[in-house]
Amino acid sequence: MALNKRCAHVAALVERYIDGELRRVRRAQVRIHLRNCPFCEKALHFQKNLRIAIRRKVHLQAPPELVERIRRSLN
Amino acid sequence: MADRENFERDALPYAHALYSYALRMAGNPQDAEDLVQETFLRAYRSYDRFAEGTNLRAWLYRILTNTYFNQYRQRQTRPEELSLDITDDFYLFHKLLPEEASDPSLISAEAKVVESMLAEDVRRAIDQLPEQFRMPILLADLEGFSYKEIASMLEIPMGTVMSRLSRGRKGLQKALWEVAKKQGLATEGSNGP
Repeated sequence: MALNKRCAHVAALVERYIDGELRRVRRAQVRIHLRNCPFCEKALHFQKNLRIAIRRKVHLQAPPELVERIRRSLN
Repeated sequence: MADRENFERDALPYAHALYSYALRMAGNPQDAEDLVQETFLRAYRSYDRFAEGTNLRAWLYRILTNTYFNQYRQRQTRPEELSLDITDDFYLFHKLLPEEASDPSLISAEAKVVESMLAEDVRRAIDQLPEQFRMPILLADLEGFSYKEIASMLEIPMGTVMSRLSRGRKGLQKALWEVAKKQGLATEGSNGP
């Protein structure tokens, strides 16, 4: 898989891009590269889907009696 | 006294998300429940000082984090380091790529591999991360807080948030790769960069 210099530059920014933490100019640089590089675009999608998958596995419902217990403790 | 009805209406819906976070931090359901209950009690007591219009969710997470630091964390030893021999931000993606996948259109949705993992294995992979890396990951990747919010909750500089997230995410990907191999969802010999 050929990773050129541009890809490497963008790869280093992708996590912050997904986090919404890049300033406008860098964000635009990443977006333009992703539009033109199907490989990096796939990688970006993978990272995003990875987070969604992890989130699904980790989020749990609190036991109903806990919510009740909290409610009672506010009295 | 704070307006109980408003507090219940606005804050209680976050109990589930706070519980998921507390469970990953405290490590067992009993401590997690106590931690969440204590969080709500403290929040309720100072609810009249909570500024309308600021982020209630972030405020609750901050209280939970503080409560955890003050009451639960003392049982732990010093924060562990994360030994990491990888530098690739796309570690798992590259590991899951088939050797011959030079055409990006042939790459399918490999994140499905993680979807097919057992939830408890994914949770264990997170739990095994040292706390200093686990906390920012939970707050950023699961709860969607900004670096600034996380820095403020954990009382560390933003640069530290960024470096811990970066290292922690790599560590997590590596742990998930081990899970994938163990469960037979992927085989060794896949391509690496």
